[in-house]
Amino acid sequence: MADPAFTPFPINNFPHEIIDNIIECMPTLTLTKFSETCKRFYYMSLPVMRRTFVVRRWLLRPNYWDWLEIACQRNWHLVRHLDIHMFNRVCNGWGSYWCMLRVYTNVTKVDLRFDQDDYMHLTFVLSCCLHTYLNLKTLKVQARWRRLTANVDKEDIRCYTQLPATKKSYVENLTIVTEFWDDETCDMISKVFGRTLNAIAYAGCKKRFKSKIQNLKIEIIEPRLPGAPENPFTHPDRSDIHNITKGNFKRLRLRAKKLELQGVEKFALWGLELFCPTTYAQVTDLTIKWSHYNVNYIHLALEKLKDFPVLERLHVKDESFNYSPSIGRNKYCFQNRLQCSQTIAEQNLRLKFIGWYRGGDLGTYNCGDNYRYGWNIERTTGTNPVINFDFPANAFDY
Amino acid sequence: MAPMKLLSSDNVEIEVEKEVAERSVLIKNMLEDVGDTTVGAPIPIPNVNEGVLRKVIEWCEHHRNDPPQPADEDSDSRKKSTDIEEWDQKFMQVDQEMLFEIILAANYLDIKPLLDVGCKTVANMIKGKSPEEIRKTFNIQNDFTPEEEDQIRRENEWAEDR
Repeated sequence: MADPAFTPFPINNFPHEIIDNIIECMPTLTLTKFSETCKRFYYMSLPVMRRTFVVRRWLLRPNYWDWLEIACQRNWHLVRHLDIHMFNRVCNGWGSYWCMLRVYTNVTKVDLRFDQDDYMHLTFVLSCCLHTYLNLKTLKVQARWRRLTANVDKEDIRCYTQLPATKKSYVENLTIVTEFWDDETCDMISKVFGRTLNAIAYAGCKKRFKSKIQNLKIEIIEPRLPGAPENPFTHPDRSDIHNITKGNFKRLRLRAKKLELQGVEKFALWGLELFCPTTYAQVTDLTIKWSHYNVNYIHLALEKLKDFPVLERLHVKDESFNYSPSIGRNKYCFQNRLQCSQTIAEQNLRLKFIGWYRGGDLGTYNCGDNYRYGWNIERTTGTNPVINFDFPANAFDY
Repeated sequence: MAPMKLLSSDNVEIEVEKEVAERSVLIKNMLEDVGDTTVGAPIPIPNVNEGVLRKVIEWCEHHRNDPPQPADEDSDSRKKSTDIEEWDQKFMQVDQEMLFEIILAANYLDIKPLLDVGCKTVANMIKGKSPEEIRKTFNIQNDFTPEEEDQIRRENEWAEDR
């Protein structure tokens, strides 16, 4: 019972619209407590509560059926804001149901908060969001990731490769908060957000490029977790990578014909996109080499071919031998192969396998072999550039 | 900047710069309707007394250069009750009656950002409290039957942070 001697804040005297405003300001849990105080506030809170759904850890354990049961009870057409806390390993199964439900057409805002160091399906999650939330305007992802790619599997690939390009434009606000920001993270996100790849790179590299980014917020939280890879954007050897690329382009424009990007990693490829494609109009030879472990960059190189109309020779050399066992190499390579095949098909290229050969510098490669093989890729129309790829052995063999 | 006068409900004239007064959409629209009032009669604000009006003007002075609020009703800044600027937090450290009056004045004068700050302050007062504590704080009569109370608790269980 309320104490009549106590002079409380006269909330009951507030006009209806002010109460509504206060309700809008409340976090979900506060709102539920408020709704339990009396009938008036219950009914006033109901529309807002129905617009929001918080998925908490306890709903996802011991299995996601609990969550699913609760989820199915929702009137999803009313939900606008989905706030998912701390989902972790359960997302393996959760994601499938997420896709299957396909009822979230009115959800405009999704918050995903991961509180584990587990490997996350970022690509999958993002793809699901874009597939499923047709009216998504704001997507906020907070996580403490170490490796994002570890659990990528066929389902993930199927999901994001089928993603229509137009879907990518739905997200107007993307916030990614992570305790470190590595190139794998960028890579994963780029697969979903396409050209956002550049934006991410420059968001990390140079503040001045942020002006090119609309509604994209990247927060890099320091310090990094112990043992986490170095932030490529603050690494002294890489932080100015776009300037290296820019330098190459200057030379390219002046001397034309030949461009060699050596010792740079995929950021150089991103850098290529910064400049107008006409810059490459005279380039007949392009060599790109890198020594990082990510063979997945190859597809990015392939995508560049359309910007090199008179290119005769592209030599793409991956001298990777630093595979991390935790990456889940085979699955990752499968993903790479799929993307390469797609790109090749799109660009009227024909892939020609030219055989295996032995290399001697793949000592740490964990397949117990040290083969390499090469491809010739020929353009089926127009000129016939010869494109040589050097991959680590079994790169596409899983 | 040109000064103008506002007349509070207790008939006190308060001089204020036009730019500051125009943080109120009500006053801004009024000025647009009646034309230049810099040398004219004070604008009556019949629902707001001198003390509250001065407090509201203080807020408007501080926020005179704020950018216009985004049109997006769902923007995070409007939603999160914890998201209150430090200056605003201090500004809102007033007794409950004054807080109540400021919210009503902001609503009447149509100063959305001030209304939001007031509502967020109230939301923060509620945050972390049990239904019973909220009832006590706000003198709310529990009109649920025990069965209804149970049912609503079950309905709301999904939001519990365990």
